[in-house]
Amino acid sequence: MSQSSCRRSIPMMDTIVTIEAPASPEHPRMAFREEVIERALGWFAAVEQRCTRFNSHSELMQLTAQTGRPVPVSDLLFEAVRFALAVAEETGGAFDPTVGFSMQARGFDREYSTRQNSGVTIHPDEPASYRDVQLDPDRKTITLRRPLILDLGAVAKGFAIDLAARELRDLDNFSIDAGGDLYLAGCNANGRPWSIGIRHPRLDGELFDVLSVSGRAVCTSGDYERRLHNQEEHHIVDPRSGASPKSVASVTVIAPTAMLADAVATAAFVLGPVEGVRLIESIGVDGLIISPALERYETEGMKEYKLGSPAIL
Amino acid sequence: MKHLSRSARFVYLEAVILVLAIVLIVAGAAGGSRISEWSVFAGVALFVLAGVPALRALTGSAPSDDLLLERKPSGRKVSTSLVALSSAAILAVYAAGYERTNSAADQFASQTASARHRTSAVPAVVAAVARSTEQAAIASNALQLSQTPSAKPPVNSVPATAAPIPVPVRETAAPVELPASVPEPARAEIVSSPAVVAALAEEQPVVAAVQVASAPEPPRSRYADGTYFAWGSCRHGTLQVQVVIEAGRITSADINQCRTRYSCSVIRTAPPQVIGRQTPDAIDNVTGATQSIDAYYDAVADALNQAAKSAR
Repeated sequence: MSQSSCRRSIPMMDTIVTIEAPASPEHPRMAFREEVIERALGWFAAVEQRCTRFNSHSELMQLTAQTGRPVPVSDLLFEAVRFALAVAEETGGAFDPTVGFSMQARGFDREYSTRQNSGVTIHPDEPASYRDVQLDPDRKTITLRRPLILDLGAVAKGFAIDLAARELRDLDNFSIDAGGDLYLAGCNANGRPWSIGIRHPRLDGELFDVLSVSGRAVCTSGDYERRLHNQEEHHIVDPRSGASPKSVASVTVIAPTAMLADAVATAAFVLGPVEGVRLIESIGVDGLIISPALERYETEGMKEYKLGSPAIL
Repeated sequence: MKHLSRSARFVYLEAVILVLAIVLIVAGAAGGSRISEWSVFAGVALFVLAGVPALRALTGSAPSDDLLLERKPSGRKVSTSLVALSSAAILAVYAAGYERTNSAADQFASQTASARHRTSAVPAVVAAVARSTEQAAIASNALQLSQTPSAKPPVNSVPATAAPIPVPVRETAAPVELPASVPEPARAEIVSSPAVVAALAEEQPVVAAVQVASAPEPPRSRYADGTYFAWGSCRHGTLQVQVVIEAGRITSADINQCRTRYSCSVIRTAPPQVIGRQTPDAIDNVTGATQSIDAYYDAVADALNQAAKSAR
């Protein structure tokens, strides 16, 4: 029985968030670890409150309701948007947090697990892009130059993971799992680096590969998640075309922070296997892309994370 | 840093070229010889070379590397900026946000602590109210997530953010002298939970305050009566349990939602063991279902933890 490893799960951010903290010589008592985990979970609530697209009272949706004038926002929302825009700039729009409108129009207008609608409709005349968002770092304001919806989905979840990880830094060993997006620190309950399985994109219940990770975030985007009723379109949209990319089945990115891994995984998905790996390399992180034909494309640095045969778990 | 100074150098260079161009044109126009014509040509050429990007820089937004350099620098120079930016964002928000986002909880907790010094009867209720409303909020999330149409009436949808923030429940804790220290800001921050909490309190004995207030002496049982929900997760997926405490005893610990890859029926022997032994600690392992048993154990332990906190 895993009594010495402390584990907590709560429903949050449209998924289940689990934090696990195995005992360590410095922190043998569960009570202390429980307390820290509780504080870390609070960050998910804070991020969701500010950044969710599915609640018209969230700070993000209130920002969306005001077009053409600078809106003062919290540090959290400001930094999340600033980062998302930086990634959009770096990836030439392959990642673009302003895809919100086309996602809403295509049916992704409610939270997956709760079926909660955002209740807000936007009717822009022409497609907006990340260039329509202006930031003022001195006054901490965001200006939307035209009606649009910001979808911070990928960045927000990663941000919450990173903030929670910072809260947990007193503990040497912990893992955060937010619906498959992970942050791993130290070692697992067996004293080894965390073993992370990459879900096989086509065979349910199987693993494509297993990685050995410590001190890194691991985020995966797959075309098997969140499919719409017609099964043709999934939740990742190419902001430049409005369609779901078909040349990638799954992208896994390993990076120092989860917000970066999340955003880069989304962008790489859109760019395709070859361009995607090139992007991941250029940003200075590592990743693995699996095509629908199950071909593997990966960065040079991925070999650092190999565990061996998947049988060793 | 380095590319900033590069752009500054470029601007300086452009300014010099512009001045040179103007000098050449003026000198060439003033003179009449062949050399003057070339001078004008050269001046115009330099003007175009340096002037156009400078003009763009003046009229457009702040110049980015795109304007001053023909291509983005390759390699790690730009790449590390994203890594650094994400780290900086995390540090900035962590430093600024921790106090504010938890202020409501901290305020309530500190005022609860000071209330404890005033009278002995009140604190148990205040703590119970705080914890029970927390559970009510968590329970509301559980109901919201539950796909099964249960006997419970439909609940207004509540943002999940209501969960960790304790909300004072005035509706149900009527007879109790709730301390005036119940903070206004905490309630103002909550979006829509009071209605939900009230709805839940009517049909589930989640709000321990009611029982504690009616008894002349609060019973010192280990668990507060009520229904508690909690999630457990393992490699195969997640599951949710529903633990019911009646008269201080665990009367049920069933799996409410099974989201594991394998059916939860493999661990159907676990709930009766919890009831029989009144603890999850002694659940026997099920061969081939260790992971699911672990998840079940974690969930029941979590639920009992909530019940224990309510009883304090």
